[in-house]
Amino acid sequence: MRIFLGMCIILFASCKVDTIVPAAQEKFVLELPEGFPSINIPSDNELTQERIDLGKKLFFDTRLSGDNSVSCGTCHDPELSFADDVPISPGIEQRLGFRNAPSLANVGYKNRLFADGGVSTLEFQVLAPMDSHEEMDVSVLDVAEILKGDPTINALSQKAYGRDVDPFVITRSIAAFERTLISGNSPYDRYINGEFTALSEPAVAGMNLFFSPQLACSTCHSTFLFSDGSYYNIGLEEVYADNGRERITANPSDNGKFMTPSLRNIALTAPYMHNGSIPTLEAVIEHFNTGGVNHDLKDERIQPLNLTSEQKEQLVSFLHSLTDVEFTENVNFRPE
Amino acid sequence: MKYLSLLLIAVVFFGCKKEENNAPCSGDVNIEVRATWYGSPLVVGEKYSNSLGFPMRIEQFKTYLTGIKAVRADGSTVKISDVELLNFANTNNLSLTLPVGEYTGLRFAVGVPAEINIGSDPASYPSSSPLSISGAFGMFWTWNSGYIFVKFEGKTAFDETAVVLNQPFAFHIGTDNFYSEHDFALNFTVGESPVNLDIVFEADKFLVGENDTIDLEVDYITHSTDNMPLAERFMNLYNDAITVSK
Repeated sequence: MRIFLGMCIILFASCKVDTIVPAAQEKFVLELPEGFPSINIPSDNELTQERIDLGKKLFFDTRLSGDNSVSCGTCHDPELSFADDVPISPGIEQRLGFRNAPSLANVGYKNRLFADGGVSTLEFQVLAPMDSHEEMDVSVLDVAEILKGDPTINALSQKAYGRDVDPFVITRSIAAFERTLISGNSPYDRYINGEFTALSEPAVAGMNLFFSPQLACSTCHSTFLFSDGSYYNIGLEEVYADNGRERITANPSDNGKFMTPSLRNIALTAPYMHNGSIPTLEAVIEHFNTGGVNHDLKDERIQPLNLTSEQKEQLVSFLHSLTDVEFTENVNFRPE
Repeated sequence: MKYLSLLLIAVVFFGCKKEENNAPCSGDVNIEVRATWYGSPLVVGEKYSNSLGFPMRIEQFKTYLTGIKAVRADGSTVKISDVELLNFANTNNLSLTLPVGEYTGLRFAVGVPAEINIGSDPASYPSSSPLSISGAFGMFWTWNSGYIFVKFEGKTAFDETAVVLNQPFAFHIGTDNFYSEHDFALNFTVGESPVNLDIVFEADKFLVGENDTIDLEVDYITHSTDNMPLAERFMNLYNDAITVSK
């Protein structure tokens, strides 16, 4: 049976679209901040300037929604670190889904996407909001047909991928653009790279609290992304309306578990949590200070912290120091 | 049935040589894949009565079959198709040729093998493939990557005299757990006379079997991960409802 499966894999794989970088294109090299590792780029979607340019155009193109009212950028606003400022972003016809729009800063580093980790590649992820009735509610096949009729877009598609616009080009180009959304020049970054005046005293005190074993924030909000990419129940609800990771695994022990969000640019991405139910950073800290509500699956590290008012302010100050203005003001990330 | 051209490759592999007596080296085989409702052809969209006497209409029934092979008397196999997406709103015939000889069975799986299903991206397949976005339309999830192996849905009512059927039911089965291999014993001879084989899905048994009955008033929907126990019950019934004959 293993041989049979092996043959299947070879045959299936051979049927896949074979894509090479068209001639006269140079690979685009990402400029990475100090301490940031390289990003895995799929072999069928090597980065080129042409692909990134096309992806940016499509990212901000409302033709990717059923009534031409919503683009990716509608809910992922560059000024807000590619997040939104409402609990649930309305889709077409003001329809509401059930999750808060996440920031796309450094999204190219993520191994799993969505708060429940349901999807593993940026390319495939592009299909989800288009397919969702509450978000863009459109067939990618229809979008491809419309865009193929746009001479400018189709010419870019030919240049970037050597083919007319189709679902492959749409998913690949948007993913290529998203991989360039790298943010790593916050005051905190400058501080740890030796610019010791970059952080205020309260921010430094907050940083020390953040990384302290007593608070244990950094055991989950770890790595250069301030996220370990794992899933936790943090005692947000006694009965979760959204079952989180369990939605994907069907494992009851994953109920109410959501992926640790990155804290980079966190001050720009209120409201917080998977459902946008906590309006401010202060309220988030208060949630962790009280230890949340009871839940059998709540992570054992979520315990009352007994923070003083000053400590809470220091933590907020530190979280503000993770804002990278260079990123949010980068014209390369804005619609033309 | 777009992948039968692959059969040519299989024929070439078997080294079709012209015999001295000019006997053919391959013969015609037609495989009809169909669905039935209590023995009669299932018509998608038609109103039927279920085992409880309630009206019921199946509005969509699609399934993936993969790794379809004929088993030869010596135990070797001949590939028929890598992947087929069957839509039972249409007729499904696989017309092909197989090397002459004795055969003892048909082998296939319901669903897509894990190696293809995990991290699948339909956009990476050409549009002619049943695994592509257009080919697999409606048969893959976007919030949780993976193909839908079986989609069986429609409407019913819990009143024997109801004219309007307003209670939807939907069984969307996927995830690697439910990839199901089938190995059917069936003796047939490929030679000068065409061989007709049937793969039959007895749809009336998808909800009512020897060991289980799914009550649509209680258990009417699963997208697999949101109700794995129901998905498992459905697939147990579903796999038992497949027969092969000639």
